[in-house]
Amino acid sequence: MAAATMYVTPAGAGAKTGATWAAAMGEAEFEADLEAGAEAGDIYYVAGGNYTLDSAYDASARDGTAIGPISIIGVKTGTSAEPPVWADWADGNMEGGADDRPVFVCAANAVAFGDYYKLFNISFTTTVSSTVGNGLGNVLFNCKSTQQSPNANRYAFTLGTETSAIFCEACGLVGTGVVGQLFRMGTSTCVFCWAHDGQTGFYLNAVRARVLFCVMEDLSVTGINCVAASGFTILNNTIHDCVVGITGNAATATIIVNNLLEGCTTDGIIFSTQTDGNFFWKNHGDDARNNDMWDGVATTMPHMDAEVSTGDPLFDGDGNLSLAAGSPCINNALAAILGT
Amino acid sequence: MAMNEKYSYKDFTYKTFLDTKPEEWNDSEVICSCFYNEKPKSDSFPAGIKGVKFIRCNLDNIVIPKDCTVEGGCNRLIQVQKDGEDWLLDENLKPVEPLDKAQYIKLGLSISPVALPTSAKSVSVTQEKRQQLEDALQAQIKALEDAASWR
Repeated sequence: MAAATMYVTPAGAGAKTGATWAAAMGEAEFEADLEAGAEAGDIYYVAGGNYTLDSAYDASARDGTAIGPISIIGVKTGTSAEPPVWADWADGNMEGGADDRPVFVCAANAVAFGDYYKLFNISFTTTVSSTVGNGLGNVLFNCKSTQQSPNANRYAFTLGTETSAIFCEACGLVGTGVVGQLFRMGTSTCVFCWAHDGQTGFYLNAVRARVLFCVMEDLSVTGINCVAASGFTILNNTIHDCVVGITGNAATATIIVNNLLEGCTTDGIIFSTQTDGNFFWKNHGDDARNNDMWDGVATTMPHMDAEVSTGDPLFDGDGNLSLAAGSPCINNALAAILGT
Repeated sequence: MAMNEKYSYKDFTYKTFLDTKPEEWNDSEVICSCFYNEKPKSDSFPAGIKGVKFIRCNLDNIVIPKDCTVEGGCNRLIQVQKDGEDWLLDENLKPVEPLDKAQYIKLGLSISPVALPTSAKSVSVTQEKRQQLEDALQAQIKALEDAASWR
């Protein structure tokens, strides 16, 4: 069969074939199609609203391809364009706007996708131990997973090999801090993501995982945990009010550059084994504001962070961790001179 | 019967409504909402409600009021066991099989309640098994990379 464009609303409409908005699939039809009929190149436009699951979504056997991913795209409630345009895409709340993404209310029902999916503008709430699981080569953009379980050691997102999460948010129930790992990462990349109100923000469980331009807040264990592997890139992140900022364990060949650590109560960066093959540069933080900024990290040349900056980063109180004028972090990264 | 606008298409996970007025519920259709609660056989709705039809709702672990009906959806008994995962229970609240049975089979884990651990695990059995598989994969990758090194 040829790849199809399909439409989904919480209640469905008409014949519920998904061919048009007037015949949109409901939740049950969407699940059935996803699990048994999804194929490379299919696009599902999912309108805002709540989709209550009454069984697990197991699309792990339905794969897209690198040149024909299966796309599931959240759009605003009431979208009528076929296909929807960019302005119809559902928004997240990370820039202070309304969160009008469709929400898959999973409760105890697991959700797993196969290889090569594009999940855009989708929100999940879940209580399952390891959910929103992803196969190979997936892209998540503007997605959110809220782990609602009061039980410890649960995950919010499980990112498979070569999967990317861009502008995504993962959290536990705000204030409880029991969720084990918000982003559990294989050899994957998180860019512009936000992890908060859990135990560990980013759990780097495979070589070459990357955490770039992300924010971690209110984590009761650690912002980033590098687990016994190598080649991690941890670049341009803000880690605020966590117990530990970055847990290196014995990770090797890891790059930790230009991260801002503030308000970590136990350690800024801690390595259980001092591993001088790693590289630290232009990070911001000090003992006075992170208790022990460099625990298990060399403090002598050439292995130390030679250009660390220190002091109050001067967050401007807008709740977004923006930097106020005079912050020692402004213009503290690489000053490149390009070609002249 | 009219759709109950207030309580349809909503996420009420872990919430209870014991202190709401029965009139908010009576003789209405509650469609596609999630009322899941962690504790099996939870009373979630106010005493005395009647004529409510729950259509395609998640009512796992929820006691259905006797004068109400259910159409589609789910109303299972589920509880986290000492292996750290959700299991389906029988009426006596004894575990029967893992809720995500397919995942257990895929990972080669026993789906028999007899195999459940006697003490609680800090990491669930499926997470533990996946970790073992991932560790083995990482070791294989490292071995291949070492073998393919230019040296």
